[in-house]
Amino acid sequence: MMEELIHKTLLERGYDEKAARMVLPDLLGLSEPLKSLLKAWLENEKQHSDYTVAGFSVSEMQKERGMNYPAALLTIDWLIKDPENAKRSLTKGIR
Amino acid sequence: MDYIEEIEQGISRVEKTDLQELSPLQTEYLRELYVQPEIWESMEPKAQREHLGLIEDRFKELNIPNYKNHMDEWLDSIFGSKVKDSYLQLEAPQDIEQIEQISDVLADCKELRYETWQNLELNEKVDVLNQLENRIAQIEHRPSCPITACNLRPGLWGGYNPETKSIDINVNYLEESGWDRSIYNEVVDTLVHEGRHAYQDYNVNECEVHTRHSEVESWAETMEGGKWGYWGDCSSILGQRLYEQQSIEIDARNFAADVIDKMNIKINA
Repeated sequence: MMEELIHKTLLERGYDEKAARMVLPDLLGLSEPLKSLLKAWLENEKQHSDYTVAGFSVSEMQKERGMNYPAALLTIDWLIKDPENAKRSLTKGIR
Repeated sequence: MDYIEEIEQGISRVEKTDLQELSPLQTEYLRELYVQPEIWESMEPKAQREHLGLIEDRFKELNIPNYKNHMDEWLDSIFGSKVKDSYLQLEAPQDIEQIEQISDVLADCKELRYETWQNLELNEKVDVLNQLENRIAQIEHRPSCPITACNLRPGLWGGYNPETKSIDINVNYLEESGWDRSIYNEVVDTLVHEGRHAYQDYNVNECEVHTRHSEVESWAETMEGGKWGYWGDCSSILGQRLYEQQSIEIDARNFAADVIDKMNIKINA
């Protein structure tokens, strides 16, 4: 049920099929504080509640790293689950 | 003194480090294996490979150090572009050899030494990166990609564009590399990293020259559903973890790290 809703909503909000399939398992497994943020976003696209972990926030991921809301949630989730590797990766940047 | 001995002595009289040019005697010895372009084109690929093997044996026989670093230039000048092109479609050196050769090129580049790099103008830095990319591409048996300094957002060091076959480097980091050594290190890392993406793309989409087919298959899978389907910074839709854990990113990151480690060892030796 939840899986279908996330998949459908991602497609409606700009994801293509491949990208939606890639992020779906991780969105389904979001840590507790982020689950409710995703739920709110699924109900209302404009709902972008913020959350901060280890000095990184969802809004910062969006503003400074150009991530959309689900991608920002996934990145903060990584910081919760594997802080060392996530911090190293965010510090190293994209190339 | 026999013919080979005479040629070898000729080499040691010139210089026995990394020869940029062959002596007339060496050239003459290699040219004995010259094949007319029309005959070369009519040869079966297997026969071409065997003939290229004979040519390579002569380079080894002549005991020319680092001959692989100049192989394609010499093949072009002695045997012509068709033979050179066939050589480049041969299997690329194994990763460990590529890492060795690329780190040699970087360590030997005077302009890349930090004390020199600091004083280069932006356009000169871009020129140096383009020259290095040409050398890296030769080692990797793939076409070279033009490198351009571009305005990219903070945190984005650069990128390889599989459509235009070109490499972008963040102009702000390029400028900062002139006074910040850690940024300079990352710029050099980015050069090798993006070159590796060009190598992955070449192997998957044009000509498989990589020694391990399973790795090429794994890159192809990533390209199918990952970065190559979303040209640009795909972390913006996948998040940082899925971006970083794509097989092409893991491979490019590890390859560049190994090259930089080797380069530093050689510079500090």
